[in-house]
Amino acid sequence: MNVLPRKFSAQLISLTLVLFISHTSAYSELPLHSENDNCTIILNLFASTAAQFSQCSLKSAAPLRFCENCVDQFHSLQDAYGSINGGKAMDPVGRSCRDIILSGDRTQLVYNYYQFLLGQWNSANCDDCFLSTNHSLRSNSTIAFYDMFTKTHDCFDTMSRTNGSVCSVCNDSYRQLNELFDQRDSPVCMDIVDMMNNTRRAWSHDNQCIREQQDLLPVIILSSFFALLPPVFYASNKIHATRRQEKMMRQRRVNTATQIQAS
Amino acid sequence: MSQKKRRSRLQETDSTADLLDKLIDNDGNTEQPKNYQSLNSDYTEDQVEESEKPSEPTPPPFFKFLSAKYESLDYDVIENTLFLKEERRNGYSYVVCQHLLRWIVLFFIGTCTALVAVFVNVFIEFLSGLKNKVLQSHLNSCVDDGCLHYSMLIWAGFNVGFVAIAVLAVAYGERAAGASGIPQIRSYLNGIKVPNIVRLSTLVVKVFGVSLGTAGGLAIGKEGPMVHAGAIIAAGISQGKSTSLRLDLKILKRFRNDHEKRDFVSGGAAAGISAAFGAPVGGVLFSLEEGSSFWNQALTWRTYFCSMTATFTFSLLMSWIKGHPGDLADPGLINFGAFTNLSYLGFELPLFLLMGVFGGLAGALFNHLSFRLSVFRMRYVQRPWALVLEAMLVALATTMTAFLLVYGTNECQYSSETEYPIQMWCGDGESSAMGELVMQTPEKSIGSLFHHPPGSFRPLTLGLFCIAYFILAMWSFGLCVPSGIFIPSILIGAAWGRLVAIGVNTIVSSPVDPGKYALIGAAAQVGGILRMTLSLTVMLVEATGNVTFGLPLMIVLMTAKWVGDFFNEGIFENAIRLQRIPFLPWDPPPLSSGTTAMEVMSYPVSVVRTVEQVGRIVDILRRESFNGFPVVEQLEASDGASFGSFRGLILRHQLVTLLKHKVFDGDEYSMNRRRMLIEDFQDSYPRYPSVGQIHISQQERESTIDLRPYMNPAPYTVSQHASLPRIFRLFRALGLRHVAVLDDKCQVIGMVTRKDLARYRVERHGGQISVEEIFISSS
Repeated sequence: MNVLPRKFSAQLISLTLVLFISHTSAYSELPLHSENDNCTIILNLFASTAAQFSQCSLKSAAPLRFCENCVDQFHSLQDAYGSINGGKAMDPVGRSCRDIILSGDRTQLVYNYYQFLLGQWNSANCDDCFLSTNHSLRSNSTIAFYDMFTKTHDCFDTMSRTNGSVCSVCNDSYRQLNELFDQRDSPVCMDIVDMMNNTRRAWSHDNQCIREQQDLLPVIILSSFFALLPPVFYASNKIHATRRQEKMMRQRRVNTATQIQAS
Repeated sequence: MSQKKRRSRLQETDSTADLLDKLIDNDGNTEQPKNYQSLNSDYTEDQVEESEKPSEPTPPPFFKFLSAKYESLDYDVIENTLFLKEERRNGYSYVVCQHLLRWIVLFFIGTCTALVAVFVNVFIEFLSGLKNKVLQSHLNSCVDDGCLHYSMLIWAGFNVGFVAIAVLAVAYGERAAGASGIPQIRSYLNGIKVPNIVRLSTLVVKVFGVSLGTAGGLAIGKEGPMVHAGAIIAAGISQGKSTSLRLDLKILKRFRNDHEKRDFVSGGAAAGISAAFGAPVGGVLFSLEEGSSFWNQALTWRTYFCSMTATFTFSLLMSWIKGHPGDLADPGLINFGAFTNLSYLGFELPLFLLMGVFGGLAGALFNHLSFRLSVFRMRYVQRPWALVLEAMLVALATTMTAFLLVYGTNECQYSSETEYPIQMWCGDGESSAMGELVMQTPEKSIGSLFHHPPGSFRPLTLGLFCIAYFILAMWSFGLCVPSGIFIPSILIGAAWGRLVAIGVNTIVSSPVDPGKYALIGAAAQVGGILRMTLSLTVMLVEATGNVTFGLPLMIVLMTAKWVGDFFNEGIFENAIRLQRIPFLPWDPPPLSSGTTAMEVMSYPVSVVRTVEQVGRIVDILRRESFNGFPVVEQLEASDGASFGSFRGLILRHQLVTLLKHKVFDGDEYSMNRRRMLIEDFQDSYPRYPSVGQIHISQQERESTIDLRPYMNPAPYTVSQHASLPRIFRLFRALGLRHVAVLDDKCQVIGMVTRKDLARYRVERHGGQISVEEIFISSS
C-alpha cells in the first residue's frame, strides 16, 4: 500500500513532462485485490461470455449460421459489457470499475475486444433476421425463408438421389425462395444472404440449371444487317458527295526582294 | 461570307475588279492553280523563276491550308487620344475597382461552371439510370423467354434516340458545339477568333448534347465539353451581357475587350477541368499548358481561385446530392475513386516505362486513324443530314458492339457493386463482368477497372473490351456530337493496363495490384493520344487522390509523348490543323533566321492617310478583308514600293464606328466629333457592324476624317530586315494582330499578320523536321 506515496514523491522530484503517462502507469500497477473484488467478478464474466461468443461465431462461420446460432451468446456478451460500462460497481478503494477496466491503461483490451465483436455482429446485419421488438426471436419473414430453404434443399437432395430432373421439379420452390429473398429490405441478414448464395450456386453450378444461349439466329441476322449500314453509308457518301472546291486565296507577297531595293 | 457575294459587291466599281483579280484566285479552281504563286520554295534566290512556273498540277493535301475565315483577337490596347483621356478621367480608383471586380467575376465563373458540371452529371445519371432500369429488367427476363433480340433493339432505340437528339441540335442548331471544343478554346486563347465558339447557344447545345451523347452510350467523355462550357460561361459572365438574348446588364463594360475576355476565358477553361475531374491545380496547369499564350503570376493566382471555387462548389453540391451534405472529404467525390496505399517497387519502373512506350504507339495509331477518318469526313460527310445519320449509325454500332460483347462473353462475378447488374448467361446471383464494363457510364467503368480486386476481370473480357473501345472511341471522336476524348482514352488504357497486371502476376511471386497498372496504362494511353504532360500528370494525381504516384505517372507520360511525337502530332493539334486554324505554336520555325520581314509580310498594303476622304475609306473597307490599316502621312504611290511615312495604325472596326457616327471634318459634324467617347467604339463589341450596314451619302463621301485622335499612334513595327523568329516572338509574346514593316526611311512597305506567320508550318515526322509554307483558303 505504501507503493503509492513513494511513487508520487518520485514524480514530484523529477518534475517532468509525462505526468499523465506515469499517472496511468501507476494505475496499471495496481493489482486487482482479490477474487471477490467486484471489478474482478464482472471482468471474469465478460471474459467468459466473450469466449463463448467467439467460439460460437467461429464454429458457425461456414456454412454461415452466425446470427441464428450465436444470438444468445451475443446478448449475454452485451449484458456483461453493460454491467462494466453502465454499472456502479466500485473497487475497495472506491474507484469505479468502469474506469479501471475500460480506460485504465493504453491497451484498452476490454473495450477494443468488445468493439471488434460488436463489429462482427453488425457487419453481418444480424438484427435483420430477428424481430425488431425482441432481438432474440426470429422474424416471420426469416421463418418463412428458412422453411422454403429447407424445402428447396430437400427437393435438391431427393432429386439428386433419385437422379431426377432437379431443374424442372425444384423450379417452383427455387423461384419462391428467390422471391422471398428479393422481398427483404436491404441490408439483408448475412445468414440469409449466404443461404441464398449457396442455393443459387447449387442451382446454377452443381445442378447445371443454366440458361441456354437462345435466339442466336435473330441476333446474328440483326447484327449483320446493322453492321452493313456504316459501309453502305460511307460508300454512298463518297460516291454522291460533291467534292468540296478549294478556293485558294492569292497571297500578296513581294515577288522579288530586288524590286524594292532598286527603288 | 461567301466569296461570290463579296465579289459581286466589289465589281460594282471598275477599279476594284482589277484588284480583285490580284486578291482572289478568280476561278477558284484547284485543278489549275495557275494564278497563285508557289510558296513551297526554300526561300532561295530563284523565287522569281518559281513564281512564274505553274505549280504542281495536283492540289495540295487537304490539310495544308489555313482558312481565311479565322481572324485574330485584338489583344493589344489602342492607346489613342480617347484612351488617354479616359484613363486620366478614371484615375486610380478605377484600377482598384477593376482588380476587385475581376475577383468577383472569377468567383461567379467558378460557381456557374460547377453548377453546369453538376447538371451534366445529374442529367447523365438520370438518363442512363432510366435506360438501364428498363434494359436490366428486359434483358434479365428475356434470357429465359428468348426475346433477347428485342432487348437489343430496345437498347439500340434508347441510344440512337438520345444521340439523335444531340446530333440534331448540333447539326441544325450550333455546329460550333460539336466535338471536343478544346482545340477551339486553345485557338481562342492563342488569339484567334473562332466563329460562334463562345456563344450562349453553343453552351446550351454543348451541355445537353454531351449529356445525351454520354447517356446514349457513345464512347465519349464529358471533360472536353466541360472545358468548353467553362470557357463560354467565362466569356459570358465577364461581359455582363448576351448578344444572343439581347440582354445587356450595363455592368462590367470595362471588361468588354478581347484582352480582358481572354484572361477570363483561361479561368473558365481551368474551372471546366477542375469541375469535371475534381482537379483544381490540374485545371490551372491545363490552362497554362494548353491554353493561354499569355500568362503572368497574378493571372495564375486568379485562375487558381476560379478553379478552386469550381471544385469547392461542385464537391459541395455533389456531396449534397449523394447524401452526405457538407462532407467534402467523401471519397465518392474523388473522380476515379481514391487509391489507398499506392506504392511501387523498383522493378516496376522499367515496366512502367515499357507501358509508356506502348501507350505512345497505341496513341500514335489512334491519332493516325482518327486523322484519316476526319479527312474523309471533311471531304465527303459534310451535309447536316449526313452528319446526323453518321452519328446515329455510330450510336447503333456502339450499342451492337456492347450487346454482342455481353452476349458473347461468359465471365461472371459474384458481388457486383453496379446499380444495374446484367445477369445474361451467368448463374443466379452473379452478374456479367462485360455487362458491368459496357452498361455503366464510362467514368464508373474506369472506377471498376481501377478498383476491383485482383481476378475481377479475365484477360479475354479485358482484351475484347479494349479493342472494341479503341475502335469505337476513334470512330466517335470528331462526330458532330459534343464529345471528349479524355475518358475514352483512360478507359482504353485502364483495360490494357489491367491486362499487363494479369501478365505480371503470372510471373512474379507476390501479386501486384491490378488497379495500379490500370492507372499507369490509362496515363500512357492518354499521354499517347493527347500528348499533354504536366497538367495531365497533376490531373491524374488529383483525380485519384494520390501524390506519391507522381514519379511513375511522369515517367509514363513522358515516354508516351516522346514515342507518340516520333510518329505524329497530338489529337488536338491534328484537329486544329484540320480546321485550318492559323495557330501560332510556342516557338518560331527552326532555322528560319534567314527569312526576313520582306518575305514574310503582305505586300502591297492598303493604307489610309492621317486625314482621309470618307469615300476612299469606304472603298478600302469594302475592298479589303484586312482588319488593320496603317495610317500614313502622304501617299507615295508613284514609286510603287512604299506607301508613305508611318504614323499609326487604325482598325477596321474603328473606321466603321467613325463612319457610323459620322465623325467627319467640317462644322456641321463638330457635335459628332465632340461627342465621340471610347465607349462608342466598345459598344458593339464583340459583333461589330460591317461597312455594308452603314449608309454614306454621296455628299458625305466627299468629306474627310481626321484619323489622328483615334488611331493607335505607337503600334509595334519591325524593320524590313527583321528576321522571321524575331517577328514571330514579338507576335507570340505580345499577342499582336498587326505589325507594320518599315523601311529605313520609316516608310510602310508591308504588314505582317497572323496568317503570314502561321503559314510557315513545321512538320515533324520520324525524328526529322521540315518547314514548309502552306496555302490560304477562303473556306
